[in-house]
Amino acid sequence: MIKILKNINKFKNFWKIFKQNKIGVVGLIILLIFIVLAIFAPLFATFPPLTTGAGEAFLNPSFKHLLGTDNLGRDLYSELLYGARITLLVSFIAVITSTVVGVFLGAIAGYYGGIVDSLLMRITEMFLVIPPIFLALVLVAIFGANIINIIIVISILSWPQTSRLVRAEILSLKERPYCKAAIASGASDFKIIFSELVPNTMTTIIVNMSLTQATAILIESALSFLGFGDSSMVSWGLMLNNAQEFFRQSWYMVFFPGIGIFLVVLSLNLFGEGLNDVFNPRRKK
Amino acid sequence: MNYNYLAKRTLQIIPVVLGILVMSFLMIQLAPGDVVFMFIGESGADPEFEAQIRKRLGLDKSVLEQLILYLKGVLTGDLGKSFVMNESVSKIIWDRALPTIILMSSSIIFGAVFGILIGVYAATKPYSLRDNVSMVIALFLYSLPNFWLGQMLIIVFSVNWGILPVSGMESMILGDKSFLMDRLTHLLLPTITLGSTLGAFVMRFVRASMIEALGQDYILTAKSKGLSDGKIFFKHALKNALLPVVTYIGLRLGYMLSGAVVIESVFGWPGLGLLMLDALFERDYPLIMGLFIVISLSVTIITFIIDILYTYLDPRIRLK
Repeated sequence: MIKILKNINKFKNFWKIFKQNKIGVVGLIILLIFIVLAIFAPLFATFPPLTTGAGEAFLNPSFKHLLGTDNLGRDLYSELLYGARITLLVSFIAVITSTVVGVFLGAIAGYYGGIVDSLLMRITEMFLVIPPIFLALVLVAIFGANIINIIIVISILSWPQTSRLVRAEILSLKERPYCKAAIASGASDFKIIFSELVPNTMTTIIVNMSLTQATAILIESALSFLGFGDSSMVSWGLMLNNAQEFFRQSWYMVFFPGIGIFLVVLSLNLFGEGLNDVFNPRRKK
Repeated sequence: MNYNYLAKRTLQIIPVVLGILVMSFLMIQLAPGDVVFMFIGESGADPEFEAQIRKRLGLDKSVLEQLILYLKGVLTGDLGKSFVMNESVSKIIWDRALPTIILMSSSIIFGAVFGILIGVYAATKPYSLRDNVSMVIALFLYSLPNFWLGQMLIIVFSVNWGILPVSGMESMILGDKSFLMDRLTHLLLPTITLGSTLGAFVMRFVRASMIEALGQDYILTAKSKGLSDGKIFFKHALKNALLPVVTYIGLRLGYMLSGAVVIESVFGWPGLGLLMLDALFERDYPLIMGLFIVISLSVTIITFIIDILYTYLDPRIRLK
């Protein structure tokens, strides 16, 4: 109970500072709107997903079809809402897995140093020179374009960055007196790493998650756009892939899914930078 | 030039290069399905023919032997033979490299010039309106999916206004346009699309780097000497702030090549990205791996050269 109250207090303090950061708040609001729209898509949508012939093909926006219709007469507005689910969910799961792996490996490397550390650093350097989309395309093409593989591929591309950040923080944190005290008190390495050091890198991790998800959405969209997405799940990228052939007939088919991707990526970037300003006020000036 | 540093950096890239090679080898090894069936069909031919193909592809040897043979091949420039096209992978890649090099160069020039100009302009008055507007532009540009930006540019300039070509690198019929003009009009939209993301990142980087340079002691010295603001800004701060931009652009090369794959697909630009997509759709494994290796190693080598040049241009780095 006390712990919960303490956390509520922490959150209140955080919110007091965060709400002064206008760009962060704007980002959060846009993001929340999209999350609500995605979760409650059936409530807001005017047609069930993938209803072909909801109207005629290539209709312009109207009251019946808020954003017009596509080549098969599907209602773009409804498709867009259901597409948000796929786009947001895929990127979110990928961010969670890559963060868990990245934090774990980064913390181990930073704490133990030596061979483990050099090995990890060489691996992350390798990822710096491999063009991400190339690797993603190769992996998806070889192992199959389904949603699980896409999540795994995005995680593979994202963990090195998280790992480098956490490692750098752990390197400096382990020299602090409180860590020395924990070592002296005989705590196990595991306990020191995961209950003393890692919690103190939380702010970095959270900021990084928000920025990583922005990149994850762009990667997923690019893969689907190029025809290497999961064709059974209509994400915004897949809608753009479909629109490619028809942009002479209807520019709406290209315009709206792209705006969706842009707004969500923008909101995550804004939110991430807002958080960064709040957590690391020194960096700003 | 500090040879110790050169040696150290050279030693550092060896494991990275080996890692890339081993990774590409493993990806093919782990690929589901037997490669041999790509030649003889799933139904299976007579076992003798299968064994023959296996031998020709070197698949009858152990995995370790295959790896060593593969590494040997790559190090001597032999990337194998394409499954689909009856030509060596290195020749195919070499023939298609030029369009990508052209597109990358023009985009880097566009992105760097555009980014540096706005970045410097923003830094002249930090936290002013011009600074905030510039940073919002940067934020918008790097939040845009660049393939979508490309599609929208095509819709506006090529489909609606009809002033620029929709795709490709050259027109079938030249008409009254000169050869160079034709190429340039084809290059314009892909360059803007690919270069704008780089420009956005350079903008932010230059701004931060300028503001940092302006806070240094030597600027105070220059001020106390009575130099004009313009001279301090352009001669002293800018010179120091621009050097790291080169390294920064080097670091973004990998991302730019990523972008190039997608942009080449949007604009039908006949470079390595489009080649890669064709290879992927046809499951031409030797070509896929060849491209993967060539692209990754090019980035490694270019970053390495930039790094060495940088220490040569900025002696302060060598001391670290």
